[in-house]
Amino acid sequence: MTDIQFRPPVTLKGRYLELVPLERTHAAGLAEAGRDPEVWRYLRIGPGHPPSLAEMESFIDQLLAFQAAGELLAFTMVLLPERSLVGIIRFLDIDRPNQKVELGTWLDSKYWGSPLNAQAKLLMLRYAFEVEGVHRVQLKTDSRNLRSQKAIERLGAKPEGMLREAHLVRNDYFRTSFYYSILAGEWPSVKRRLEERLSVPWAGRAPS
Amino acid sequence: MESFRTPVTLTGRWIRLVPLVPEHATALRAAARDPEIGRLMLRGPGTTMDDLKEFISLVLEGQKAGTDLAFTTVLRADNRPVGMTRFLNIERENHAVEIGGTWLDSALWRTPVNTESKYLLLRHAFEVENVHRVSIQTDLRNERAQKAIARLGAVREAVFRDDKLLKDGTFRTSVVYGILVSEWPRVKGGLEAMLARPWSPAENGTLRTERGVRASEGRE
Repeated sequence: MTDIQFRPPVTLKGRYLELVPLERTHAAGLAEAGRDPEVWRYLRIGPGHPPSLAEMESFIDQLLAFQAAGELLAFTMVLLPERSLVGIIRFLDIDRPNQKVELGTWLDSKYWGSPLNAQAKLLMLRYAFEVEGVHRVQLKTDSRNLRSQKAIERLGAKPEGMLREAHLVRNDYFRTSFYYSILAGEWPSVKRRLEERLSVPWAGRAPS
Repeated sequence: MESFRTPVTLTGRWIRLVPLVPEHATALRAAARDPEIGRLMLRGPGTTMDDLKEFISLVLEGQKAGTDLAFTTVLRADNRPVGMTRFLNIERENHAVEIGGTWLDSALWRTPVNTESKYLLLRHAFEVENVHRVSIQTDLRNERAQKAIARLGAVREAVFRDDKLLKDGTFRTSVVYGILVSEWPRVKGGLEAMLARPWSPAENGTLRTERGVRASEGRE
């Protein structure tokens, strides 16, 4: 088996979203998408509150530095057809020797409950399993973040337990993280569920 | 937790953990002669001198990169290297560290040697380096290791399916245990009680030097 790559630039396109390589020039649009403090409440990195333009730029710089080191591959979520920016989704902890990767997302709270998260996950998981050929995709979330836990379980990812007080959040709090995973053998059924969810019309748009 | 960068020596009642150096290879090869030792290890001492040298240099590379801090386990009674252990996945940003990569001469399994090595490493991590959390993980199939870890008082937290690719091309499932700084006093008390029991290295037939003298020296 050839090594997994996860090297930029990669662009992924669906019916509602295009996932484009994250760039510093996206800072203003992403600061707008992240204006609701709820978006940041449980995240390990980021400003922890609605970000200023400068804070969003420095957050993007931080992600791009990890990307340059080969540990991460970050995308800006672009809403179609208007092309407004609605969040960031990324592969992180890219582990080439073990053919696995983690998936992390934040989305403008205006679109929580919309099909945008399912669309972004379908594009990313399809890329990971079908293009890169990974064996395992991991997701994790704060033990207090029930909304995110529900979203991950709805994907069909299997809960694997927790690491207690394993991540220091903004130098303030040791967060317990819940872990989930999808293995390559489970991808066909996860994919079917996501495609079903995306098969209904949304906000005047035809299904993808 | 700023450090985990400078090699240190940790001294206990039965063993001393000394900084791993390539020169330990010859003595460690003798300790690793039982092929059962590395069977369920992700990377272990192997079965030949070349395997062992490669393993040691890999570990020392991690140490150079700052992710690992490695030790040779030395039996104090006869000053003999009997295994290796290390801090790995050192996460300075999360004040967290893992203890692992541990192997031991199989003649010393079920003796206080492993218990004392965990005691010395945990005490260093929590009391000198001030970490918030220590993880220990093992292969789900390795029941002996899971029992030993649970006996330390570590909490079983997660089972990561197929998270490591083995040399034979199959994936292993890992079980992860954690100890938090708030739990350290209880864990420490338990370890000290276990280590207070009598033991003579000579009983295990592992001493190479003159027995009576060396065994009593080990007891000090």
